Amino acid sequence: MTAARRPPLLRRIAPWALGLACVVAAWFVALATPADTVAWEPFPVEARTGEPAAGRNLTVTVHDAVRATSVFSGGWRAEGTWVVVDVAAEAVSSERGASLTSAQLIVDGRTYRATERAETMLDERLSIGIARRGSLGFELPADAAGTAVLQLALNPDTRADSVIEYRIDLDALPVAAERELVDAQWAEAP
Amino acid sequence: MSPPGRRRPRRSGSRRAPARPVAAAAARHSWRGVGAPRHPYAVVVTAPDLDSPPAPPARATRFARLRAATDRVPTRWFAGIGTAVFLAATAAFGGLEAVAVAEVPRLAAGEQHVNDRVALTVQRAVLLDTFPEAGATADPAQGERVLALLVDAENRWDRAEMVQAGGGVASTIGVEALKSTPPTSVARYDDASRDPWLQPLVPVALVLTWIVPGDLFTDGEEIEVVLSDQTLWSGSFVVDGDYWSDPRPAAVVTVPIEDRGDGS
Repeated sequence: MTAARRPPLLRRIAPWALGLACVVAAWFVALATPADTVAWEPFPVEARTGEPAAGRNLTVTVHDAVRATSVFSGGWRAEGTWVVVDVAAEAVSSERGASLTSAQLIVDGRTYRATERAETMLDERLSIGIARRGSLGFELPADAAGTAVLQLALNPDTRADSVIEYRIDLDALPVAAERELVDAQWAEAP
Repeated sequence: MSPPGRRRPRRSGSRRAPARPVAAAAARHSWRGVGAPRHPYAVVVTAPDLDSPPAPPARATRFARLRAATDRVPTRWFAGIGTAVFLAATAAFGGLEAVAVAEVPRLAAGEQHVNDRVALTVQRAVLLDTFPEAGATADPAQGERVLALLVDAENRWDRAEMVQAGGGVASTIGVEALKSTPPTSVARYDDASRDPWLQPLVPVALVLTWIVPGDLFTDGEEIEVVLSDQTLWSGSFVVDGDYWSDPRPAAVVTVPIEDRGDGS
């Protein structure tokens, strides 16, 4: 091969430059691509105190949240650090499978489940048009502090389903010496 | 069965085949058909190429040189060298001596064992006639009794977890004398609720109960409780969620049994 037959410099560099540009572009595309889990992430619905928040088949009104050192229900009593939330809930489009089976409080990256030790709103069957109202109790470690997020859903598997979220500032909650965990009952207003 | 008389002539015919003229036999094998071997071109085509091969190109000589160079590498020594290196490495790591198994720490009642999933403290072991409050009803007619293990548990994972007799945290607690069979029931000590949930960092006193043969344990006898550590796995592809698996003994707690009779 003689020097005269060599292609011009630009033509020799162009494929390399183009290839490099493609690699860099692919890197940016990979950076901007959402994770696989995004496709089935739950749809959060923000709830405010006293206002109904509607999800796919669940409408929830959070009425009240307090911190208590002792909770009771009927003859049952437990000491500890408790957060008691009073909620009213009803189904929206179907009563089939409409139970409040997922009630959890996220504190400091840890997920607490509403207590099953007393009869409460947990696992309560919901109806359309008539709300059920009652308590949800969460047992926390003594030093629990900061912001907590209450998450309510119809199914423990919340993938691609709506989740009612209610923010609670644990430090600003009113503290009660004792509080009743109220079992679900019919409520006139949601 | 075909009559032998019909086959014999064929066999004799095939035996006769080599006796045919060579040209006819060649014609039979040629794809050009009868008469092809007589054609002058056919001879040219089938004759071996007597021309000397053309001079090998520069690349071939370079390859040949490379090949000649690699042929001088004494590959026959490779197996011996590899074996020697393997034996030297084995000797360096202690030879073929049996590796000492790490001793599982031994704890006494009241001492805590902590892993990534849960912190467990075996407090007491009690032998009772029956313990229906905790979910274990023994049949005295069959000589059954109940072994109850009081264990303080604190969830160290990032989410609430239910303790069931058949799995979960209960599967990491085994009584050596019972060959680590799963308990009959798991309940809370304070309010006797069954299959309780362990909330993160909230300590709970648990009662694990086993229905056992009445003559298996005696008062004052020491039993060994094996606590296992597990590894957290995350499901992918067909399995969803996180789960604990792969248990391995991490602590042995020695607890004396208190025989409380009917529990009064």
